[in-house]
Amino acid sequence: MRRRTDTAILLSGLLCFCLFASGCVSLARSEIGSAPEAASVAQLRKGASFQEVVEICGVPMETIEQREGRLLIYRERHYRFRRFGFDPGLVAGFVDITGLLRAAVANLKLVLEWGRVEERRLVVLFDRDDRVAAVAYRDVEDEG
Amino acid sequence: MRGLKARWGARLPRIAARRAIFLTLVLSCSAGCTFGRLQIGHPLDAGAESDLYSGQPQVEVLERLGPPDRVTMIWDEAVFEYFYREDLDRELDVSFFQASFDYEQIWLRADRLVVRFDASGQVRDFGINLQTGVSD
Repeated sequence: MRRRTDTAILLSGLLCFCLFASGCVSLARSEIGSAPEAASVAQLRKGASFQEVVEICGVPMETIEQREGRLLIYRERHYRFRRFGFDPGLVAGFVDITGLLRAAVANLKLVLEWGRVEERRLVVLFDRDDRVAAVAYRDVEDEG
Repeated sequence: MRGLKARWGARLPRIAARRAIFLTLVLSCSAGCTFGRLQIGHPLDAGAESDLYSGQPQVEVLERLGPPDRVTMIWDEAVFEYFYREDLDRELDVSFFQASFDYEQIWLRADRLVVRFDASGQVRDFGINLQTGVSD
């Protein structure tokens, strides 16, 4: 009974070691585009001119001309990706000459992936006189 | 004290063995699995639709809903699109030598709010579609 218990613990320990000693971790992060920080956006006031907006926020990514006034759009896209993979078959390959053990544990793979894409975004709406009529801003940490 | 030690001394290996077997079973059941989740954008404010009305100026829409995810012009009319998307992916991959079995499920769900303006910059119509269950 005692010997069986010890064997079970030993095998489980070996399996756990194989699981966590082999695998992969991938982390990726990228930022594309440009949008001003909240502190800069706070300086924008209704009635500001196009020139003032560009001086505070920089050049927009996109400009849309409407009959009632133009829209300036700033975008900064944040992409985060995490991947964790456990693959004990990799460790088995070192100790198993026949390939049988490797084939047996090859299915014990577990891969977990998370990805998130968010944008820091600013839209400035001008009126017909080319003065700021509305400012809409969203930061990447904002909820909802 | 000695009796307690003797009793627990006998039980501990059994408990450890049960835990070890349980852990092994859990790990075995996760064979060849991939779980993935991709979120794009921010969840929408589902109540925002009730604040919209025909003839509402673009200024008010921006102040109420924030910057849209996408702006497109159709003829002289602007369309604001707000969206949140979730991609869920589950995959089971089992193989033995040259034989293999692969099963994959992908769910693509999106919450979308579209506001269309007329040429004078006032709301013409709008619509919302909620699928993810995340937006509230």
